[in-house]
Amino acid sequence: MAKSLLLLLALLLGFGQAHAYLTEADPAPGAVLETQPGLISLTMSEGVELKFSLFKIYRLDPIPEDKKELARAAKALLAEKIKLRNDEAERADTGLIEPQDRSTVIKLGLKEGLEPGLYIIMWKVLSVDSHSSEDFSYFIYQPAQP
Amino acid sequence: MILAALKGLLYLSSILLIGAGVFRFFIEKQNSELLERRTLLSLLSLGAIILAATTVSEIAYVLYDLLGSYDLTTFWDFVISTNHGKAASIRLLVLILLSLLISLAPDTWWSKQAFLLLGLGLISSFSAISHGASMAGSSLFVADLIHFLAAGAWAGPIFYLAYSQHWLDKANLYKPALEQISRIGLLSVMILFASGFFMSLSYMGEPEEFVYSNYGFSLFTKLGMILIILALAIYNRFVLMNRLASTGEVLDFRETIRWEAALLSLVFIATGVLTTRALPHSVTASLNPAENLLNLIQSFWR
Repeated sequence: MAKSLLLLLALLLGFGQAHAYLTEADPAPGAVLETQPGLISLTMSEGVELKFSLFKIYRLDPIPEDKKELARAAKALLAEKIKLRNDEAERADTGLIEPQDRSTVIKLGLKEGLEPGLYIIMWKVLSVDSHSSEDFSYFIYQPAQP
Repeated sequence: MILAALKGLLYLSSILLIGAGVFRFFIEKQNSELLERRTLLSLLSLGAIILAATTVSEIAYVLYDLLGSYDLTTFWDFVISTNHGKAASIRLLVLILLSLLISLAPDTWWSKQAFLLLGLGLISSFSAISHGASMAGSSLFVADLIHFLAAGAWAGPIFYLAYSQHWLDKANLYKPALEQISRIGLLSVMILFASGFFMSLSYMGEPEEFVYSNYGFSLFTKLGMILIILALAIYNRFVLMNRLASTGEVLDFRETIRWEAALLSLVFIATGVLTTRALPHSVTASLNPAENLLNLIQSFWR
């Protein structure tokens, strides 16, 4: 009860500044795919300024053993690669499809003939409310054995 | 931390600008000279310079944070193509017009209307790129605008009154000014709480998440400072105002007004910190204020 009253008082001050975060992804985070996806679609909680946002897909090798380790490795990869320039050859994506000035839905093309493995979709975005945020999603491409 | 400081300075300097206009056109009666013109212009210039510098610095910082570097071409591209850049350009233009109006225009009905319009323009340059405006459109944009305006109308003139130099030799002139500030303050606090509550409910999904988050900690710190300021304002209104009426004593008022000004500065810095922190959220959290109000009421009984 005391906690709720304190919260009620705090609510009177008003708050609301936040940052864009992922609300939907196709493929879904952690999806295991037998066929290579044609493109990656990310839906953010609010519009992002695409000209000043970065989206990249990298293969992470070896595949971490558990989700905690995966999160740690993905964050390290993000920190290392997201601001890297002229890294198109290393990446698995071909860049934004139908780039606009701002949008909540982001579509990324994928290079053909991806190697099987774990792929980290990373981003650092500037939302239209002028805040920047970074995060990642991932999928595993594991073609069915013939 | 740099961004939080920049945001805090942006809010504080905007309030200094709004406060100069409220003080000049609505608090200080013609020629009462509670504040020497030179002091008013110094504070106004300080606010204008800090606002211009932090507006430009914020863009530079955002670009550096996003891209790891920036140059003039990228800077210009950002200014003309992003919502943030466009809002910053409008802010700089309004800042110049507002400064000229407050420092040069005579105290007439037209000047007051022009000040209200430009003040609204200045605050809009923040509200238009607020989280509410980007997520839920016009209702939260208007709520954010009203919230910021009320904060400016309440806090702004207090900074100027705190610097006023004639507490000893023109004590009798302070009573009408203090009464006017008190009236504006009471109305502003009611508007601040109503608009704040509406905005909070719009963003809040699960109430419990806030309490133990970094965001919640910052919010409660700000709450503590606001409660102290409100206590000072109540003391001013019900104790010192009566003393002033009966004995003409104003020096205690000067002290509490200065404390209020110092605490309000900290509140705006805390607001800067809050705006750079992400709210605890979940994908399923609702943006519907009515639904979130029900959640809050339910949390009272848990």
